[in-house]
Amino acid sequence: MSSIVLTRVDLLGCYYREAKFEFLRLWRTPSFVLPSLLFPSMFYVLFGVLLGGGRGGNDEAARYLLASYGVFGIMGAALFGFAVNVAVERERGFLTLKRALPMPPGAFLFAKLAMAMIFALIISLMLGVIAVTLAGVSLSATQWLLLLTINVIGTLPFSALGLWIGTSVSGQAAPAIVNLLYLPMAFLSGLWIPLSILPKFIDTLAPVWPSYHLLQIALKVVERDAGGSLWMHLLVLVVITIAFFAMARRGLVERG
Amino acid sequence: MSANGSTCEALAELRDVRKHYGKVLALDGVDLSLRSGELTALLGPNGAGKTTAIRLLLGLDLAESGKASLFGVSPHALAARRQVGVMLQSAGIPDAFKVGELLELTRGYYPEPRTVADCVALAGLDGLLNRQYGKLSGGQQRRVQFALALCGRPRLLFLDEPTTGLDIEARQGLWKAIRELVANGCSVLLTTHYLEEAEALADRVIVLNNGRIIAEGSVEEVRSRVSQRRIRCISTLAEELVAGWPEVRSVIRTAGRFEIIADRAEPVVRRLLDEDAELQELEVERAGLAEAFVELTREVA
Amino acid sequence: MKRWTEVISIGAVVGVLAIAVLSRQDHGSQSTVAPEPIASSTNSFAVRAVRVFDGQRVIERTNVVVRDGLIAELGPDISIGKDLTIIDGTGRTLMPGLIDAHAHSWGDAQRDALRFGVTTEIDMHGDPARLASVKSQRESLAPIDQADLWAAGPAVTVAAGHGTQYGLSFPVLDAQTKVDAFIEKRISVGSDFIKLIVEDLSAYSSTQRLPTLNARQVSEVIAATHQQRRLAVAHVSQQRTATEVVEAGVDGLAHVFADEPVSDEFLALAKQHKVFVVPTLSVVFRAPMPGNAASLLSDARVETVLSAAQRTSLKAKFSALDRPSVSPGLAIENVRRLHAAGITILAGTDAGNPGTAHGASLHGELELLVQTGLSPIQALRAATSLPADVFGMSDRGRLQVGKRADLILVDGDPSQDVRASRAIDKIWKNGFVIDVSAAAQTVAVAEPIAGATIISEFEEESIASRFGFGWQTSTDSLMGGASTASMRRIVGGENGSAGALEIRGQIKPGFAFPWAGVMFFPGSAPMRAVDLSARHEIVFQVRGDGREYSVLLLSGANEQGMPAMQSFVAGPDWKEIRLPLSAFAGADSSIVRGIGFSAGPPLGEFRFELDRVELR
Repeated sequence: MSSIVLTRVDLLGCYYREAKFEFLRLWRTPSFVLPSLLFPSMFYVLFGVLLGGGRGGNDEAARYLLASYGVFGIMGAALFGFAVNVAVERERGFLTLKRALPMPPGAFLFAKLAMAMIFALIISLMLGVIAVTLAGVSLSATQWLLLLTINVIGTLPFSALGLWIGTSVSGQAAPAIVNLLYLPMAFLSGLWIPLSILPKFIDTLAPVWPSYHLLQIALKVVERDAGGSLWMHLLVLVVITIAFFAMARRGLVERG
Repeated sequence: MSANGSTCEALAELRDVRKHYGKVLALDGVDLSLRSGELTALLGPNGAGKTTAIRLLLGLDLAESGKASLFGVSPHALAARRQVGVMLQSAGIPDAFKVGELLELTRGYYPEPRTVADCVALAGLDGLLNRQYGKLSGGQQRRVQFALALCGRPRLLFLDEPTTGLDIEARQGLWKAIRELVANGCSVLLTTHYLEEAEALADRVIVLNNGRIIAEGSVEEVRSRVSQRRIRCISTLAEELVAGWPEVRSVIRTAGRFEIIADRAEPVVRRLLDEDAELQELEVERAGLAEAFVELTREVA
Repeated sequence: MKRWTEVISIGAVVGVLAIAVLSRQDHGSQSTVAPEPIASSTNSFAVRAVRVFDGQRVIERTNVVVRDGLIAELGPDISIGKDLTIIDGTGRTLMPGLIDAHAHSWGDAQRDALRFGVTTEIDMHGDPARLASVKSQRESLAPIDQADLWAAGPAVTVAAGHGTQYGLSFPVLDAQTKVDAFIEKRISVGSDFIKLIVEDLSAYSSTQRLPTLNARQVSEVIAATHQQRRLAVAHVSQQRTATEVVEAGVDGLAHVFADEPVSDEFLALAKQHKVFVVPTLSVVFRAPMPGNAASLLSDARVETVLSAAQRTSLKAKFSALDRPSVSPGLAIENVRRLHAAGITILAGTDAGNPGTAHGASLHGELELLVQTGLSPIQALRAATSLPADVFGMSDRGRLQVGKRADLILVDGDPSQDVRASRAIDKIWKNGFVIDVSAAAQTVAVAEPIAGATIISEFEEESIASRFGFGWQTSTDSLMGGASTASMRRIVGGENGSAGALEIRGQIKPGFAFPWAGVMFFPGSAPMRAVDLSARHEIVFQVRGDGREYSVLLLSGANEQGMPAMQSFVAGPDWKEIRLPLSAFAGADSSIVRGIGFSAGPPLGEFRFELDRVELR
């Protein structure tokens, strides 16, 4: 019965190549790269720099917006990267082919996550450069590192959410559904404009949005947060990550 | 007509497998076994369960009852799938990948892959490695998919409708490549709706209908299960007229050239000659796999 | 099997989000906002939905509960008891009462400071007699209308050195002083820290020089201070002397120096020694800079709360020093570089000096600090948590549970625009609301003076004066001293005149700067101000026991202001003394409250006679 050949496959290499080619592929897809990378920077320049007065303008506001547009950017990269790509690949059968091939389980997810994180890193660095050069924000090295880390790790809950959407809807519907979620969520959780200057009910309901909790964690670094408990924010994000990954996994098994 | 009688080693097996999709019963107690060194063609009308059988064998779906195994273990085992190459009906490969990247990526999944040069030669990918997948023609894309299926030096190759959309020449090329693989000891499971493809390639044919295996054996064995004859001639008779005669199963007339399938040839030939004195180029032969297939599936229906 | 994953997952997400929303909701929000506090006699209250600057950082929206003068609870989701007065903090910022890290607090200073939300002052050179009450006051939670003090007592300097010119006398160092014992004594009297003065005036004047501590004394003072586990804070005005004191181990500088650009070497040295700096930009800027005295006077939020005395003080200028090398621009630049190098900057005003007003000037200092490159939050820290940390104030400087409820509520967000610190809505000291309007000062209007120049000739059987309220004895008993004085008209005066005023008494220990003598009040009541700007000279005849005496000119808007002094010797023979009013440094002849003739140290008896006292 056992005719299995036990020759080693370079698993690390599989993960690496999967991530590398996923990156190259996305990099050649302007409809993903341009909005993902440019929108956060454009919005930050518009709201955080031009309307905020630029250098010598309001430093505290510039810091808030640096944190909030960071979250906005990485949320977009993770949601679109997962929801739209997974939905399309699932629908067109690429995902099925991958599953039929002896791809190491997890390599697919790893590649997508690595992409979301690399894009998060690029977005964060772009915002950082704008913040330093145009908005005159100065943070300590520790604060920069923490913000970067939060932005990169912060892709996890939105990747999970995106993956779940990607496994639930068609490739055509995915971009619309993500936009329908992404843009209002960004606004209502204070990513564009601080909650303190929005109507009170928006402020009250803000914790409904996962992005609110990531924003609050990022704001703790620049000391502009609303004073909620760090553990509460982390708990929400962890639960969301686990729950949506679980549902996505089930959806993948059922619907392929 | 079952796998149990086989003397050869079973590379992949379905044992009494049932599977529903919603309320549709896709496989209803199927026993199927792929033997080493053979090209097995899986035939059947749309919805017969061919694709379901392949999905179960590759571990893409789970059987409700019964068992699917690949090289003696679950198809989910990575070690089993590392000996399998796959070409699915729709690959859905994203456009922005380059051919070389796809090949490098897929080769990486296998312990002892073919060299890139071998893959290029076998699948006919000369000059395509640096091209983006989305910019290739349909035929070139199929060749890329074929290359991905064989690049891992598989012992068993799943080819789901591999020549759909290819022109004659390309199809011949692919057949040649498949024959070469089989000659080198690779086993193949082929699904196709080009029956001549099965006739040309298959050592063994399995016919599925409504989720059940209704015939299994060599091409010759399956073909012999029906006694129909094919009658060819050039005649001026009306198609409708001939179709209404006893014993006639089907009539196709193209540009005055008749192709008549009949249960028995003699009464039909006699009447043809009676009715049309001008009749020319009369030929009678035993019907092909296609007719057998239609016959078989109709009987069950 | 079927849908458990979805059911559990969605349940978990909905659950955790619901908890997140609910935990953010204010449980107190269902109770309606009570009217403004009915009784300010309570030191328990709550502020809801307020932005909090906690001394370190901003919490955008939270609730704060104060009970019995202490912060009891803080958090967005704390429940607010129904028994509490609730103040709606929407749109406002609650923060710790401010700390002025460099002040000279006498008279109304602590009251003035509190009216501007400065709940604690650090006195860098002042009256040691205050030290005892200072400690009990700042440890109490009783209602009080004054800021608390941390105080150095008198600074450590040398005879005739900087610090001695204010009319107070106190022990000074000389070459023979045993520094250890000297410092130990200071601490035992109650100094919270030691302020030492290294100032020869060369940064301010091209000609004048003052004696000052030498390098050995500086080292010994700092070492002795550290021996007592106290901070040593130095007044310096030059990079050279700053380097000297930092190398000697000083903990902080009471001013920024601006004689030359701060050098990289100094930055490294200061960083290595973890020195803090109180720039006191408020006394540097005579140029019209935002945040300086002139701009404070033009800010209605400040101006309306100033007392008349404070207005005068803000308008006053330092007297005649040519200050060759002090540049405001350099001061700004030096603070900027010190801050950029990571050196702790504390907000202090040097209030008590001309051009400042207690309390008000700290708001100006915050604005000046922001102009040197501190963010508004960093400036606010420099006036709250940082001085509290540096000076070991464990009960204040932060808005945290357990801390003293010294709080200010301002409109707007000073962490965005630091000038919002002036928009004070409410001040709490020890949890009690401070009624700012009740403290509004009556305006001091100087009375015009009668035409007569002669005050008294003592020709008649009385000691009446031609104008003004007249003569009274004046001793340090006001300040808790034990010196005595008496006066009487005696027969026989100068140059054969009918009579004179004899003053005799005893200088006794009890107050650090003992004095005894008489005081003439030129106004219609004691300390009522008159305008003497048309007069130019005090002339009087005197004889006595050969001691040195002083003429004190009490002037200025502040009743408790330091008197300006000129000394004279009363010899055995009658002698005419002429003292131009302009010689009284720092005096304001347009607001004169009293003219004193008094004896000071050494201890012992004194006696002198006055005759024909004139204001010409």
